[in-house]
Amino acid sequence: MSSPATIPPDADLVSRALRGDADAFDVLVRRHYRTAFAVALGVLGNRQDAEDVVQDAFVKAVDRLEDCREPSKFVQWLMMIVRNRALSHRTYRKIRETSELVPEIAEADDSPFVDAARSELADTLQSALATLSEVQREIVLLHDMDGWTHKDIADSLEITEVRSRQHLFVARKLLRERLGPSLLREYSNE
Amino acid sequence: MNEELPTDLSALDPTHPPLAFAHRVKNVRTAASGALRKRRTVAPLAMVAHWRVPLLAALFLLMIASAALFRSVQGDTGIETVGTDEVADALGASSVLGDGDDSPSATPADILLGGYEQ
Repeated sequence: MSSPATIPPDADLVSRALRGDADAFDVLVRRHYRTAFAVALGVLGNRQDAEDVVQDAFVKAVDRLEDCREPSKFVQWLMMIVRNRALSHRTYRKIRETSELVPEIAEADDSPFVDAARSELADTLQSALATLSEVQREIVLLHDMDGWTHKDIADSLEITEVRSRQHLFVARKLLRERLGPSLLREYSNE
Repeated sequence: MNEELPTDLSALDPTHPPLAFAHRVKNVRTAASGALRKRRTVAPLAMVAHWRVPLLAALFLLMIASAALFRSVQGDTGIETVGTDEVADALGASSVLGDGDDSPSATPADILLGGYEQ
């Protein structure tokens, strides 16, 4: 169990990153990568594009860190950058070369069989997510993949909590119809 | 109902598997290394830049205070500004540099001492 002292708050990390501290920036990237990815994937519907946008957004963020007026709300500021980058990327989307996927596959830590199965499953999920609306996709990714609460989602997307719950309900229903019950995790604590 | 249960999206989680995630983080770090390096070199200058407005304000106030002090010191010593006419008179050049009066010259000393009568 980590004590709060060992987990530096975002504001401290942002302050250190402002002075060029690469380790502090690393922690910010690790901490918020999944959230940034969820937002980018919600907008773009494609994992590879989402990863590119996330990387681009982090570079942009470190470049303009002074613009983050409230360092304690770094993640909200980052999400805004990710969303804007994703929207521009979608507008000017280009055909990608498959060679970009090679390094990731080469560095996967599971067996080739597990990697292949995971990749296939990810493709299936991506196809199913593509049938949702952008807002449904973003909400289901933030809630079910990144563990966000409806309050946080509502604040971030500037909608009501009730609306967030409705979107999530519809999104799950549609995903279940497309994926079947086998891909739904049976959480007893939800 | 199943719609109430979370969807298992772990296959899309970019933080898994850990090695692939480390690779992604490394890519981000490499891409941002230039900006971070720039920040490290600029940081000391940024501190000066951060204080430039107060420094300039202090300098401005110092200039005003210096000007006021100079004027007060000048008043105490009785030093007054000397015009060019007085300098010319002192050098005895007023007749030369005068206004073209051809009358018999009267030196400033004559005028001052009242010894000159036309």
